[in-house]
Amino acid sequence: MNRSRLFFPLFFISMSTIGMEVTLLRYFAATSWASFGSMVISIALLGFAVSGTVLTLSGHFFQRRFETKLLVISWLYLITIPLAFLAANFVAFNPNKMLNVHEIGPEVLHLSLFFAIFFVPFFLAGLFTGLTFLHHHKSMGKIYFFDLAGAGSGSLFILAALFFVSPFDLAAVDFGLAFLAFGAVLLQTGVKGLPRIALLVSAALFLPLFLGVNSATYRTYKPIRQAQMAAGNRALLPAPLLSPLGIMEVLSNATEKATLPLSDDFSQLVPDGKIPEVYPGFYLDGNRVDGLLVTGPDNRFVGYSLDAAPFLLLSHPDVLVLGSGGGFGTYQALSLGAGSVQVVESNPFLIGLLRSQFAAQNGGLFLRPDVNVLINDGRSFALRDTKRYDLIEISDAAIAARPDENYLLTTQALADDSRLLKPNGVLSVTVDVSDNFFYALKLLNTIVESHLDRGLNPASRIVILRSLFRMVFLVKNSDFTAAEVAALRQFSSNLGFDAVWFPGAKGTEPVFSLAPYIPVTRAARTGDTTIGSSPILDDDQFFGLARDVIDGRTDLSNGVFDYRPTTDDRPYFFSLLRPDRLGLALKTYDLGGLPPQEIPSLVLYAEGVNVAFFALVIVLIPVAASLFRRRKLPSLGRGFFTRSALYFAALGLGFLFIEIVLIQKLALFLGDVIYSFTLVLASILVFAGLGSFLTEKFHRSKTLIRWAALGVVIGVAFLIWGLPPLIRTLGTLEFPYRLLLSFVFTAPLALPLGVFFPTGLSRLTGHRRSFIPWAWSINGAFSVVSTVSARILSQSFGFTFVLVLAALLYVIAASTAPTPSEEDAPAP
Amino acid sequence: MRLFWFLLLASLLASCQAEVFRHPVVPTPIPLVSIAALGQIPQVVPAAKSLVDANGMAAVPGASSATVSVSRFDSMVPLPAAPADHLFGWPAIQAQIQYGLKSHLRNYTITEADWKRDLKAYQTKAIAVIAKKPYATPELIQALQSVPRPFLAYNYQTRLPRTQIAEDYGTIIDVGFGATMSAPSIQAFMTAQLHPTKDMVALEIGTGSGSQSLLLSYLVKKVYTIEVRQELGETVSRLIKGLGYDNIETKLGDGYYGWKEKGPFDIIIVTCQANHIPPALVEQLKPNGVMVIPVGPPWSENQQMFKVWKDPATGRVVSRRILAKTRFIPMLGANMEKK
Repeated sequence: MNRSRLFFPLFFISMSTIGMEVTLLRYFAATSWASFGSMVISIALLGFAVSGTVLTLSGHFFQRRFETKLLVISWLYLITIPLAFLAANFVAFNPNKMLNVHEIGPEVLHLSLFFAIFFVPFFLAGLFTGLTFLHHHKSMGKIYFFDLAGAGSGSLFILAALFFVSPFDLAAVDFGLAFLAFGAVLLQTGVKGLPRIALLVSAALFLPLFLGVNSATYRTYKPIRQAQMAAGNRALLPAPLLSPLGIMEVLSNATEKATLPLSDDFSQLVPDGKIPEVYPGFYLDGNRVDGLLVTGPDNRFVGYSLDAAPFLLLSHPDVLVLGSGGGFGTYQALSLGAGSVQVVESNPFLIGLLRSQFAAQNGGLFLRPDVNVLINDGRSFALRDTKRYDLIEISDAAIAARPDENYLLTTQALADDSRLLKPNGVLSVTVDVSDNFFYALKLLNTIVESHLDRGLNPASRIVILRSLFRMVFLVKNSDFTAAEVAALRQFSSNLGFDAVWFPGAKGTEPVFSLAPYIPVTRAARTGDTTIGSSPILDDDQFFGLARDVIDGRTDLSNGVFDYRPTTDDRPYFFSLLRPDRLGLALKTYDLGGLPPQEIPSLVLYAEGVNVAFFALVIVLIPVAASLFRRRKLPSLGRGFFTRSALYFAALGLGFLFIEIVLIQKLALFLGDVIYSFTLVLASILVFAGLGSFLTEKFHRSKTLIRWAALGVVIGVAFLIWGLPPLIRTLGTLEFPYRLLLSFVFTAPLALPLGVFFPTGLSRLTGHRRSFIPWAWSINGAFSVVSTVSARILSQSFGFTFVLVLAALLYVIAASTAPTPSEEDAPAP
Repeated sequence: MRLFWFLLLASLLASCQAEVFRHPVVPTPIPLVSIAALGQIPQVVPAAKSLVDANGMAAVPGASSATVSVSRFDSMVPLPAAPADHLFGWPAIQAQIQYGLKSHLRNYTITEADWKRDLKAYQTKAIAVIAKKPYATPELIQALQSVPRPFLAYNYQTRLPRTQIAEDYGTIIDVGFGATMSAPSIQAFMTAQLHPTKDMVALEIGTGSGSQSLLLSYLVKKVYTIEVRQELGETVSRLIKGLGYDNIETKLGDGYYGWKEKGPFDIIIVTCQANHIPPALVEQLKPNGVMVIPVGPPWSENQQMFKVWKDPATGRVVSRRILAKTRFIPMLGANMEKK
């Protein structure tokens, strides 16, 4: 076989492997649930780890008839891509069931099935890559180049493909790339003429087969599927809009109604008032983003909405709306006399639709000269803007759009917002409390903490009002005056809202919407059927807790849930689970249960169970192999074994700790996790690979490892102390530059990261070579575990903790690096 | 080379930020709304009785009170004699079955043995359990016993009886056209929360199988019930008439707007999900009236059951969560024709 031409198959395999990772991420997000990032990386690592272990155990098995084996592997890889995605369609995973402690078991197993199914193509890709590397060890430089170039191009190619191909069919693109790899291998082999054509055609046939029988679509539990079943359903776009941000669709049907926090007394107070009746829904990846505001001649209803409250305090305010949603916030601001409105929306497609196809329905709202629209992440905007506003509104659509990393509601974000406000300006945040008030408590804790951080007294600056399902937090940049408090209380009382907190609240106010967190089973037995005067605040569970939080009497740390303030270091607003009280949290199902926003966290813990299992499987592979061959495991000495195992375990954990935190941190800089995911995946591969390649030229000594560890420690220090101010300063740049800069930020850290594994391996010489399969399996096992645990640790303890842990792991690695066997000379 | 790709992609993304969808729409002026008065003490407490001059009544065209136009239905077949006390023994059920078959109203058939089995299951697995609940009153239990619930278990879409389905405490039955018959447990719970008495007028949104209307008819003076699904509404309306419940009045229409001509009501029971409390229903509730309504996202298990009434002192709407995690089929009517 012509060695040089094997570079192209590797290039395409590498492209399609990265493609597969992004495809999987989008496939899960569109069909079932987002936030599968760490699982996708775990699955890929599982495949690579097993392939590495198998290769090192296989001796010369793969070297014999190398060409044929490579051809078979590339063919198998090619066909397992469509087959895996077809099989995944049949896994009856339903993340909603994770909320039910009685049904969580099968769902954990469904995740195991995803692992098992998608492990196969990644294993084959790993086998192919590993074999090519082994075969070309003499031209390592070129092979690295093609591998890395493939990874880099693959990530860009698949991102571009997301604009044209739906995530349901995206596997066809990976198939295409794998087909190029297979074709290139085929050309190198002795197979010629008719057999060659037959092989190509037989492989190509899998594409029409896949596209023909592929049933991937939104799963039935996705809101869009439910909406599509409703009477009179119509899609209002000729075709869904595709982009890396998701599939955008607009539906009109009988269930799409205004979900505004309007006063229940509206019809009594304004008997001839009209509420907009048509309210089509915007859906992103099958999840409802918001309803489209359809304006009519009567707009009196806007004054009877809960979020009209801040307008009582402000005259012709300059308003900043973070998250356009379907346009209600902007319309309300203009109706209530806003002087100017600045809208910041992260989804360009939503704004595009509101300005074009649906502009007529909302009266050209986003084409008005007094409405300035900017496509940006709300937080990035807050970092860069210099104007001052009277009112900043963070819409619940903007909050809901960030189910994982949410940099809009951190203590630092609130401080940034405060900087954007005029001295008497007001920040208004609306949260959904339809299930319960847990997130409202978390937000309150965050607001209080943000004030304490800045040495301010929160008690006199917070007013909280509530409708049946929404709670609005008004946070003023100065103390609320007595007249303002009186006006807000009267507004609440007049409209039947609840003033659940205001400076001087005593607990005797009437409450109109009492939604206590009640045990379901006990409720069914309730004998309480009295009606009469409205209850008072003291009867309301939220009031007592809010009062204690604001007065500093409790930080709610004794609760079953995690109510700690969210920070830029731990930006997980929708994460109530505490690892130490997981069991108790799950048991609340019978008390009304966890809100659906907790599903990503539950999925994460279920992934944790899975990765622990699969890691064990990987570690046991060398044991199983020796049992299979009826050979005793060679004795390496307990000290050496422990030290080396520690070394490779530390690398496995540390590498991914850094990678995952980088993805999460750069999500703030780039505005969306899909960009940081793809970019970090590609750049770490490229630069770590480069680091690994460059050190080939050096003597692989312990000194090199120590220098590399120092590099990692410095890099980690940069991520902790250097990156946040850089993000703050450079957040003003346009997206392409931020993309390029992110590439630059990852480079200095990724370079030393690439040194450890190959250097460690090359130091396993002489009889210690028998540790190589262990090195692969231990490293693989801990890599697989590390992605998920990095997320869990980030949620629980913050990014800084995970990064410090990673640095520590590399220091441990530097001091436990395997020493070469004494009877051998050090490896070149 | 890689930089080139990055720039290419970046420009692609940047192009999304430009107004690629430019469209010739001239912004319309927005009337200013003053809310200053809302922050002040009102001069007059708004009258709770003033009814909306509501639009959109009877959103289904041609729908009117209890008109039956089921295509296969033969209106010439005489109605069977219903028992005066509305207590249905086997002979009365037999007569109803025959009437249904002859008039092509329903294909419901059942043997006497199966009827007795289903009835016994309903008695022992549902009513006996409900009877132990603190909210169970003798009137409620008697009403539950009087409703010939197994007879109502029928799928109007497939035209198949739903017999041999355990009539137990928590069973929900599919009656076709996307509608369901709620479990006895939830029907009893909601009814108890309403405190029905014989002098009351009730409005039900979502007739469905008719079982909730029948239950209420034993407990109140008059029941008005609205169904939006035409074929289901028409057939069940005829069925109720055939069963002889003359204190139940049915209508095809959009329950979102209530039934203002017959209001105001002492009791409003909404047996389908709404994503907010419909303003018209608040209007049509008497000052001392009570409404029970599941509110929340459609098709979700995260709907909440609320009890809604008006504060006697201020007339403001008060709502209290009485159940978490319920699941009802969506209210389908509002705006269907307008979209």
